[in-house]
Amino acid sequence: MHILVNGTRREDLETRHAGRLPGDLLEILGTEFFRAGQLVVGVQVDGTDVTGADRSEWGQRAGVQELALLIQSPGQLLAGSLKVSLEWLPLLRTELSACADRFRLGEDAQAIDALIRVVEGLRLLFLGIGQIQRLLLNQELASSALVEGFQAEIPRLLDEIIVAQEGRDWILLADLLEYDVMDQLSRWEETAAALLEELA
Amino acid sequence: MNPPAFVAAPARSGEPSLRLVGPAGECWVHSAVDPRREAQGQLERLAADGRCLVVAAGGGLGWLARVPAAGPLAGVLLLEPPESPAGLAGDCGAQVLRGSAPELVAEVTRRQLALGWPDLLVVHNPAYGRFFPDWLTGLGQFLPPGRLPSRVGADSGRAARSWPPRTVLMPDSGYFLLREIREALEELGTRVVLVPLRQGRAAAPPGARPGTEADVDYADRLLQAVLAHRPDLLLTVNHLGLDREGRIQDLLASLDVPLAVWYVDSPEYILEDAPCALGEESFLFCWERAWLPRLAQLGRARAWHLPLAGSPGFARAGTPRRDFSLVCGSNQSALRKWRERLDCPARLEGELDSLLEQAVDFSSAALPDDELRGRLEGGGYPGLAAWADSAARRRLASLVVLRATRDDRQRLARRFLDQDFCLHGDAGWRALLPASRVAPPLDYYRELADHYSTVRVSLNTTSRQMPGTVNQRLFDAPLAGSAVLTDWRRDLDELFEPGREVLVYHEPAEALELGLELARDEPARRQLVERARARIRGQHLYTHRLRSLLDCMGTILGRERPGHSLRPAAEKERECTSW
Repeated sequence: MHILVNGTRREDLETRHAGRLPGDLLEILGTEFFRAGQLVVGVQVDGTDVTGADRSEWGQRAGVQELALLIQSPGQLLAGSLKVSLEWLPLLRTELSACADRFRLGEDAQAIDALIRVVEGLRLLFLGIGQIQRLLLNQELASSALVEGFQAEIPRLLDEIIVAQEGRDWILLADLLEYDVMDQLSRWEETAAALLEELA
Repeated sequence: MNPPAFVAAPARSGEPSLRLVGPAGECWVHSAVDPRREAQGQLERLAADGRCLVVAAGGGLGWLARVPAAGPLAGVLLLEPPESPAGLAGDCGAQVLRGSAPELVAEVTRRQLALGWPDLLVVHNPAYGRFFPDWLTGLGQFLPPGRLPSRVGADSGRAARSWPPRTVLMPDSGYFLLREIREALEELGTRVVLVPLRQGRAAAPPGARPGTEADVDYADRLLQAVLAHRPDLLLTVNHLGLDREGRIQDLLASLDVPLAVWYVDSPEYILEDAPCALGEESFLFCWERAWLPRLAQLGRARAWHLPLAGSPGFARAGTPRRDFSLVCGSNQSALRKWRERLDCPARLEGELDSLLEQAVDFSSAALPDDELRGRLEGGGYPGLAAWADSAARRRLASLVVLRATRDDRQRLARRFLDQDFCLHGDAGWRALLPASRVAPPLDYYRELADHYSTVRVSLNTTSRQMPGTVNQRLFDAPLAGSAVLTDWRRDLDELFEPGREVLVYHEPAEALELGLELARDEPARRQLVERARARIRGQHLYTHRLRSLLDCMGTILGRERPGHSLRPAAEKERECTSW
């Protein structure tokens, strides 16, 4: 099995771990890289991305030809995560705004479709912020305290959105999206920008 | 269950907002944060920058009318269900319409029409959707949320219309002449599209003349037909399918569809006291010259004389079984109606009765207006003269026409009571003539032609609303095989040769003498009928009239609208009055 790390073939690793199944190999290499201050952030098996996938589906597969790993330092990973979260914001803002407008105009059906996309976007942002917070804690950076507020606030807003939706209080829901969620996004934008500057 | 309550609640911005509270919960009607900004955003989102009519289905405090739009708005309508409290929107500058969904849809359509059919910008307040779901769903079937572009605008840029018209639109009420006009147009190679005045459920406005009222969706059907068929002309009879305020006419003008109206009944009866503005795009035709001055007062419309005519469908080859018949109404119910409409004070009833007793002595060669003025001001009717304003005098004139016409018919019928004679008419005649001489009324399309075919001489008296022209019987009876014995009218010899094609009397006594002579001389009677038939078939069918009407319009349109494709010049220059 060929082993590629950040696109470079590593024959030393192939020799050292010859005959192992891909799941076992990932576990061993992950520990080795972690000890060396690197994190495995992406995995491909025979060209298929299995990052985050259930290892039981591919870990015991025999006859694998190639295992490709993407590794990063925690700082690189953190910066990348922050950038990704910032890239999400304009799209999320547009969706929020359109969704609130549709509720206010009484275009319920389109508004509910838009709301599904908004909630999914907020959930992904929440997961991303959670990951960022864990990385900050691992790095023992004081900035982790800045992120904690978002970790509490976003679920609270999602709860309020669900309550308004269940009560069919569409104007309140529009207010939540247009003002409260939008405020949180602006705060996150400032916070993420400050963190990126600190990392740089 | 108690209706939901509207509860005032301040927004975070400090502006007033509103909540709806009911047994099953509550929700915000306007933003809890900033209702002013909310309304501004709604107008921006709808791009309310043109000539738009904003319709808020659930207007609440009227915030949509309180914020300025980017461009001029035709107006803001706040729709409220019947349960919402009056005065909710306060003095916001918008019109608040309260009612059921069908009522509001009709009213919004009327207002849209009155404003020249602007785009509608419809906002559904979601709180009303929760607390008044049936009401908002009902509105949404016709007024869904969003921008509803005016279909008038969508028709701009159309190609020039053709003339003679390829397609003519006709409002259809079932009125008798519409069928003849349609058939004549089709014979001339024109496609006719009928737009029903009423379809399904009728929703006539109160007080509308029977048979003339349109339902609430008529304007929309008309517009759909205009857009779907791109007619070159809208042609109607007696103002059917038009409104007195001129909104439909304005709509047609905005769509560049010329309008022709053929009046075959008194414009006084049809239009009553309404101003009835008609623009210069309107071409009016009137079966009676005496009414042309009245039609000329209708805005900038132009009017021409166009007599009635015959239809080939009336031709019959029956065998005469009766010498004389008279087919006519008694006017009794019309007299009652117009008397109620006059609303004369009880103290003047005596003078009114006396005036109407004298009606039959008014000259039949002119409309009664001048003679009525003379009689009122001559001192014979001091109470009526002092009381009657111009509107009341017009109604008095109508009453004189109706009463004189009835008395003419009654006098003529009485002369023939001893003969082989029958009068077909309404039950009102039973109080005026021996019941044995009164037969039931005849259906114009199903029975009248067959009836004429069995009568040697059809008696005729012309309504006093027609001091110059002739009525439909002059054309129908000869086509069906019956000779016509009619009272004299000024225009008669323009249309027929009296003595050779019709017999003419000046007094009922003369009518009896002429009638008996004709009934006894079958060869002479047959000759009279044949000559009248030939005249009608050669000059007086509805195809002739419609060709004249279209030629007349074509001449004007060709001069004023060069975009129209017209007939060759030689034909174009024909006189409009060439009938």
